[in-house]
Amino acid sequence: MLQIISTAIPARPADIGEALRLMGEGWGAIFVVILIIMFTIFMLNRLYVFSIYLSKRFFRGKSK
Amino acid sequence: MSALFDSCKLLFSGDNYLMILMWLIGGVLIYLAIGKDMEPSLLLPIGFGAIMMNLPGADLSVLKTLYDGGIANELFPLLLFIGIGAMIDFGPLLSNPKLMIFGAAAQFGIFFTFFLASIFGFDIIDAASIAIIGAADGPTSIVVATQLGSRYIGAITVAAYSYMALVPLVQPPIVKLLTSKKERLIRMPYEPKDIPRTTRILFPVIITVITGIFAPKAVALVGFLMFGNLIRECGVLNSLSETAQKILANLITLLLGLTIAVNMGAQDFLQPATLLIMGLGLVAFIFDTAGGVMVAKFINLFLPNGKKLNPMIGAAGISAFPMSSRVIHKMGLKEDRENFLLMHTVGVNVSGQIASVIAGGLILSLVHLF
Repeated sequence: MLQIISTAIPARPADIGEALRLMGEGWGAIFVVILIIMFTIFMLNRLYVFSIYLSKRFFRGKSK
Repeated sequence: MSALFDSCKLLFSGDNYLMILMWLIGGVLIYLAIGKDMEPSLLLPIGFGAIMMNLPGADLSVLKTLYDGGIANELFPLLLFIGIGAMIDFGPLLSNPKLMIFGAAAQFGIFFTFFLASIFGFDIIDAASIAIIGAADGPTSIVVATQLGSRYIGAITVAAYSYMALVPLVQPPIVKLLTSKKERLIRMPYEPKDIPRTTRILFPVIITVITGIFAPKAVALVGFLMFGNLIRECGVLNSLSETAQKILANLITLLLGLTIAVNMGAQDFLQPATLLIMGLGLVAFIFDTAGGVMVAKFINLFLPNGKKLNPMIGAAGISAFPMSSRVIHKMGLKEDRENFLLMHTVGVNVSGQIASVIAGGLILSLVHLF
């Protein structure tokens, strides 16, 4: 998502436009990464529930 | 005898009298650590180190060696992350992952502070390093400031650790200002869920991989944090986990505090910029808190009655773990003695820990885009 450009960081203050852009991009990027992590945890939890469902079904089938 | 007097004279020659001021600052830090119990494990060694660093003619090559070998190459803060990771239980977060959104929301202060520091004339490197005080996470601040090569690493570290200790004073007024009594009374029942061991083990691995893909500059920070957590959760390395939580974390904290004082020489530290950095650090903490609370209020606009969130929990998204979660929980109890928000605030707080580390990596990437 974020390209790493190995250029030297300019030794000057960022102007208002640049600072606002970094503010938006930075805060936005954190939300994106966190949303992906959230989605992954949801999937993990769902997988767990599904595995319980499968094991119960398998077990029930065996006992019959 | 004359050599003895020569050393005394040295103190009053040139600008060396400023060193006496640094002794006072060191003394204040030691007082805050001992007398007020404010982050004593860090502020005490920093305070003592500040006094040591400001003795004219003192040979402190050993501190410089420690600095080069432990901070300049980011070794100490990263090793400390193993200990922190081993201390954190991500259970409350795994049982309610929706709370993670507040971890992201409460990093707003970092980016707002970058904007403000730029307006105050700090160059991009220093503005980014100052902004990361808002991560409310000492090791992250040190890593980012060191990697960027900021001149103000001493002031940044002192600010980061001081405000972390001041969370109980900084957060409550902001939260009260931004929420109504009715909102603060919202109850949020906690439904504990069984978190399987597999999920607990996979979680640190997955977080590291996702961070590596989307924010590669944060991999070292997140990786060490998550490695510590993996040691804790795997269940077969209990003695390593205990060592990481106690011995490793204590040892590194001790050396980190003392060594960071290398940057607290009077000439470097006693500048108007230091005061400004302390002020900007406070702004970062205030806007972190505000970001978390406001996003919670925004989400509430879309939630039906009975399902609304107590917006105070958003403030716990600031990383200062576990201080912030306790502060917000206590605020909830103060409003309503039967409103137990602790498990929610802990979940938000640990997500803030992850988000702040990712924010550090993002800042390191973003400054290269200028």
